[in-house]
Amino acid sequence: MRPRTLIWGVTGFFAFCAAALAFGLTILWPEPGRSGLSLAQLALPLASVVCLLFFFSGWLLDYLLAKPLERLALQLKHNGHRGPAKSLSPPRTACLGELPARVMDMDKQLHAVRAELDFAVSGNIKKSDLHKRRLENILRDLDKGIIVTDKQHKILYYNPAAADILTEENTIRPGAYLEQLFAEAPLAHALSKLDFSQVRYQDDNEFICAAKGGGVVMQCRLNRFALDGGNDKGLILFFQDVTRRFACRKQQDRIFNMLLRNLRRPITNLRAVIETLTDYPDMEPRVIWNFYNILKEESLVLDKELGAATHERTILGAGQWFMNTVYSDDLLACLDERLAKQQLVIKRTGNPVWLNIDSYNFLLLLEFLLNKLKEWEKNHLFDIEVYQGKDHAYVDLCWQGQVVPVNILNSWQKEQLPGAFDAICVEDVLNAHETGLWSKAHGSKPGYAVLHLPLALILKNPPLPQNSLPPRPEFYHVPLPGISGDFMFQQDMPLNLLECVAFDIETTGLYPGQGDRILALGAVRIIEGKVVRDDIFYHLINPECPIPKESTGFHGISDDMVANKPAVDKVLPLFEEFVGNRVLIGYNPVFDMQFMQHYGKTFSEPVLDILLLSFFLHGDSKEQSLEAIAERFGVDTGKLHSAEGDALICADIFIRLIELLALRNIATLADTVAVQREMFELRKEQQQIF
Amino acid sequence: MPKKILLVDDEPNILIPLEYLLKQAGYEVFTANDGEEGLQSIRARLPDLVLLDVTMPKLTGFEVCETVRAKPEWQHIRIIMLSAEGRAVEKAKGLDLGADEYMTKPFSTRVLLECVKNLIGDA
Repeated sequence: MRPRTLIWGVTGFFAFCAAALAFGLTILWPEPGRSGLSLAQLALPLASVVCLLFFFSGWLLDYLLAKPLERLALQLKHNGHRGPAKSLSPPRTACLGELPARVMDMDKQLHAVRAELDFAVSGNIKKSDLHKRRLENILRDLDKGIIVTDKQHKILYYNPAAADILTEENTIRPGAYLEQLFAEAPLAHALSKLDFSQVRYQDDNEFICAAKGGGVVMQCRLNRFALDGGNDKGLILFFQDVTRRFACRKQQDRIFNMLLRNLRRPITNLRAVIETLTDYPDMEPRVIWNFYNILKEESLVLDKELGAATHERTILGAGQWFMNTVYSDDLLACLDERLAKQQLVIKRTGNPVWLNIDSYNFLLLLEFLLNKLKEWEKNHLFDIEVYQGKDHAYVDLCWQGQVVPVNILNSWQKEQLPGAFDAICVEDVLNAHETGLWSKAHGSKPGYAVLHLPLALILKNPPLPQNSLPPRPEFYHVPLPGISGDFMFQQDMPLNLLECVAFDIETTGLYPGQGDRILALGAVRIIEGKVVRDDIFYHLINPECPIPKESTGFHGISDDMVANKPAVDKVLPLFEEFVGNRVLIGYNPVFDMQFMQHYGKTFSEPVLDILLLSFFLHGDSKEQSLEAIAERFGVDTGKLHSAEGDALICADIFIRLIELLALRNIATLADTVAVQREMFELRKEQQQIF
Repeated sequence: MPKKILLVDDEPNILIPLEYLLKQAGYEVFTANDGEEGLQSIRARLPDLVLLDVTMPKLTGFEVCETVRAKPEWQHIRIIMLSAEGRAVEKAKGLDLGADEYMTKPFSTRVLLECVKNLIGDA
């Protein structure tokens, strides 16, 4: 009970008692006494005075003690989650003496101690997070797949490369069995070898295995390791995609065997003829003629075989270039840098696209061609236009002047590419990229010519803009759903055992009531305290209205990207299916919820707010944007401002929050919802006050 | 009377120089273009030595060799197998089936002649 309520309750009670007593006396003894005054005549004024005295003392207590104490308590409550408020002074009243000042001092000391503690804890967390992140980054960036299983071969962990290598039909997921992903026979053999071998092999139990659905050939290495340091032995499988290398090796073997088989005979025959001719110089002309015919025939056979082998080798060679996917803007930026010293100026036009190229050799090729054009045309100004055609991506070098004749282009093709390894010719690079040199007049600029380089088309979304963006406002106008229905059974469940879904949306603006629409919805599951990175829900949504340019600047989603995408009413049911019976997690999810509720989605699941929980832990920090929270917790913000990326960031932050909340004895769903509710009211109140 | 040698190969371009070479060395030389013809020739001529290619149509050199070694009356016939297959397993198979020598193509004609002389002596 609040002190003021208590004081006024007690005062009122005693005043009521005095009035009741006076009333009772008036009824019981109505006759006047010896003094001439009736008891009633005495009781009423006396009761009035007593009542007034009670009310006055009540008011005095309220004014001098209860109100200042309550103000002090309120300030302490606010300070508890906002840091010592310099702008607020402690309530001053003689009755409380130095108490408010002392309490405020203690509060400051408490904050100082808490800040030190937080600093020390976050320092250690950051340090361990740094190591963890380094390790995670190494595993994430590793191009070799890694899968860790329990002793029943059930998958516990895997890195992104593992998911990339295995084909879609063999989608990897925690809980799946190794045997569902890899061809069973070689895997079983490797396991037997591991179990029954008496010696440790130098090749660490390496084997070649195909993916279950076929298509991918992998070089694997299998080892056992102690799970959690106990006696149970799990498996750790390293593997890499060797499909291409395997095919190349098979091809090389085939060429070699073909050469061995097909060349033995003609060489035998040639040798026999030559040796006979040498040993018997006085052979009859008729026999000599026969021998010459043999020489001619076998030379032709040799020529044919060698030609076939050379052709195969050329094809095989093309498969061995270091082809990778490069964003054209990145390639041209590198070219800019190289050309700066060569008095060549290039202007980039067109829309950047993804190119599948051997980036170093292709860069050298562009540099070579520009230098050749500079010499030939005496021009140093060029446009480089990269664009996507129907079947190809095109890199066009454009200049003011004449078309380059075919014979000149042919002579350039035969030249060695300066700076390339292993004496590569221009033609080799062109062949490797399945392209050629083709010069023609510019289609839309009279007096201009182009050198056209068609390349294989790669369909891939453009990279997201990396601008630094202002945080969006916080929304608290709708209460967050608490625990109800089926979730009542989970309220005492530890946070790290909860199944959750972190989600985020991208929108055209901030207010659905004013016509703003959802553009993208991203979500990721958290199961047993681990983010399931390879099962991400991400859908672009057609808003059925133009996207404001400033909005595109935030999230990089343009009209073209959503033109053929489903409407929100098709995506929300998919999202609900993805969420299932799981707790939702978001950053200031009231913002996202208001949009979804606008389209009829109801929220029966508890929703946890990263912002409020971070506010509970680090209320002293001024910066509470998603980016700032992520940085504080050491979470990678690479894909910030995409629905998919923000959902992943929320999930990663939540994992780190679990540990810190536990230090404050917030361990279960019920504890978290309770503290979140308190923070919600406080933050809402603070928004109104400050 | 000169010693008789049978050359069995489906490649005329090897038969011509080898036939010339062996004739110049004084041997009586016959030729056959496949395994079946080779067996008929063996039956008809009863040569002292057979130069037998392995990969041939109708009957392979291995089959011819096996047939020859299965007949007691042909045990004296020496066999040199000539093969474009250079793997050890083929060589082992040829020798196991009863060939006296196994030469992998390409070979030196002088080494071949030496080998012939070692097996059946001069013409």
